[in-house]
Amino acid sequence: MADVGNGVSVEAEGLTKRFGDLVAVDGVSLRVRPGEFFGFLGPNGAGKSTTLKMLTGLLRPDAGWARILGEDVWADPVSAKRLLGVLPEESPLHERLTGWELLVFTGRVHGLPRDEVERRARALCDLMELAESDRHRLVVDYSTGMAKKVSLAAAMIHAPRVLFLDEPFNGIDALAGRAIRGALREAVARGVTIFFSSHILEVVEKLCTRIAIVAGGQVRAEGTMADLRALSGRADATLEDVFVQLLGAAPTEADLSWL
Amino acid sequence: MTHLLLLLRLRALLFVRAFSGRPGRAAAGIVALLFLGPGAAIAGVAVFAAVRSSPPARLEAFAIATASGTCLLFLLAGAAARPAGRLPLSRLLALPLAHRTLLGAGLLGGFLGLPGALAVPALAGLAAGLPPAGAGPVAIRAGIALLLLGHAVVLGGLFGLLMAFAMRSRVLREAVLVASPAFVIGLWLLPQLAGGAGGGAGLSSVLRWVGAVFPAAWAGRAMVSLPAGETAAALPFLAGFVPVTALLLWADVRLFARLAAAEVEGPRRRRGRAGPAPGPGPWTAALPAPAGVVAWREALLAAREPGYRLFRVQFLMLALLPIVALLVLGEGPARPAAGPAVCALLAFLALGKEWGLLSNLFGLEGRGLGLTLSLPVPRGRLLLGKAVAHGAIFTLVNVAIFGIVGAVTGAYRSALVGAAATEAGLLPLVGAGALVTAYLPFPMAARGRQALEQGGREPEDLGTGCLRSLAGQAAFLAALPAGGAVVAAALLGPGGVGLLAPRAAAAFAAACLAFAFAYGASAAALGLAIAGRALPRHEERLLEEAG
Repeated sequence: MADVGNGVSVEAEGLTKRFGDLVAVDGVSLRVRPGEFFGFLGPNGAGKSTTLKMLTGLLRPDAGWARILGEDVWADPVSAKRLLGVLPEESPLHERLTGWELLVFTGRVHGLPRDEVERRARALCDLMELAESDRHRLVVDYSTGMAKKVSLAAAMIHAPRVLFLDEPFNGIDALAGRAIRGALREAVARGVTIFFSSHILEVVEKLCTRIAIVAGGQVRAEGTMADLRALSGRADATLEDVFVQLLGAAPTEADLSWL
Repeated sequence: MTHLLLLLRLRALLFVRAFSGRPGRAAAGIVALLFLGPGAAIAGVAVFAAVRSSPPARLEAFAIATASGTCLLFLLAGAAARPAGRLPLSRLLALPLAHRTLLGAGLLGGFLGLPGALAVPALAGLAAGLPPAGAGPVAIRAGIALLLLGHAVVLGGLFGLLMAFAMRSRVLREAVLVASPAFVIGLWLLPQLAGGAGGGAGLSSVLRWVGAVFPAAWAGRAMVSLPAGETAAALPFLAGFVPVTALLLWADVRLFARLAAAEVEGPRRRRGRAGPAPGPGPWTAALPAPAGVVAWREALLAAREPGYRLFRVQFLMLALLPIVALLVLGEGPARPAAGPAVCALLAFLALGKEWGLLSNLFGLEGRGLGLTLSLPVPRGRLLLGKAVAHGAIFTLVNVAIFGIVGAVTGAYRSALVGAAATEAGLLPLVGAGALVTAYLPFPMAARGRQALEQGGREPEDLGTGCLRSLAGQAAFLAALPAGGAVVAAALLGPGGVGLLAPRAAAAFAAACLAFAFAYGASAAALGLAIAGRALPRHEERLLEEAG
């Protein structure tokens, strides 16, 4: 695989974003290498989604920069977007297209020939266990899980070299989830970089080769699972243990004895 | 009983909250509550006072109209009430509440909303406006009024339940949305046609028919005849009215049970189509990639988005204008002369309507806006694809409208000139619309779906709203040379006023037409190119506006 970005797939330096007085992201710097399954964790309001939006060219940072495989996201957004696939958390889709039409549109916009788009769309729908009849229903009639599957397939159809996935397994059934995890692992083995954000710490621990934990808009810890365990001082610590230790568990003072 | 009171309290709270928020909405609420209701009561009193001395038939007619109107108020005002004023049934079903409590709260809740606020004063007006009488007749009237109110409540409930069933199906829901303007226009047009055909006879026969078969009208009739001592005349009406009301209540109970069961089952989902829809055809290759694919997708969205379909239905209904004009003009000498005026008016209206879409080319994206903006499409081509789709659909509708006008008025030449001038005028609007899309992004209906032809809610930023309005006027000024050149070609060209020699007229017309479309195309291309370059700087704001 050609190495475009000096051996770095996703690179960010000093990314900062303010919304009025609130500093949502405060000088985040990251380097993710090709073939890494990179976990991006944090509590609610930590700045994960804002960072993801800045990395994928949807939100312009107030300070700092981001590159995808060497392409500056904000200097040439179109070139950068060619290299990546994005699955946003809420899977916003065009409700009046069928799942199939959405995949065909996304593939064709990325410049794929029609036959190839259809071949890939079929393969992705099979992987996601999206029944033939469901593929040709309007997205507005989809369940949450089906919309998520189509959204994920749309993010993957052009075989991006960097995939940004925000809560990809929310609402997806166990069978499809297992198949998708397998496909993602295979893609990583072939050199695809996956930037993965989730609140399900067990899944992150199982899948990711490197993890960053953010809170208050800043990266608090970053490294492999072994690095994070070393940081926590416990060799048998789970990711949840590290997460809680690092960010501190909220004190439970409410009297719930009646429950 | 406690549950019922709790539910009614909640309903009243939601009704009050529906008016809170923006100052405009609060003002609308105050107008509705403080002025419309008492206004209806005063109008009722005044009308009855005016006809007291008239023959009994007239008094009876007014009683029938008021009683029927009260029931219609419950129906229509209940249907028009904002969803925030209703209680979500699926949530309530999870609570330990009996069906009869829920139904009772639903029916009585009508009094704690717009229907009650309007209908109760109107009914009080009916009772107060009738001729003065002793205590006995007044008590009889009050009793019948209460019966009538009960009837209105169960009838409104039945209507509401039927609507709730219809709203569970997306297809039915959208069909209602698209058909409603046709229904309203039909309501307005029918009396005009009936009046044209035979004066007011058609309308009064409809009223007589309503008075005979509409149960609420029977109560109105009884309210006039019973206190006047005409018991024999009133009893048949009351004898029919009470069982009909009981039957409606029974239907409410049964329907509510069915609706509750359906709510527990969950939302109804449509089955898939038999096979895949055709993908982007070879025609998409005629545009620089990937503008053709974007145009294909935009056309699909336009064909399926109910708000946009509604907009097109309204657009086609513009063609009704000349038909109404002809009804007014009849067969007199003014009829042939109406053609050019009607066509000019239509061209202006058509372009005005289209501007709403062109000035927000992202209006159809809805929740998919983020996905579209995350795609590696050069922005100029993204806008080009969208503009081509809208332009093509506009052309189809434009040809249909002017075709109808030509066929109805016989002014074929005016219709042809009108269609051509509209098409030429559209091109500069495309360029201007792309610029407004990029520089003045509009709040879009990502969550709500109202006013989709304008891209969504009203602009919250007054400055942007003013700028958009000014931009619209500037765009129409820019479109004038293109449309004007087509009109000049028609006036001074062959078949025109005959000011020029035939060859000179032909040359002049050709030059005018060439200028109109070359100028229009250049303006469109320039606007799209500038907007395409500017759009990346404004995408963040666009996403923010979309929520």
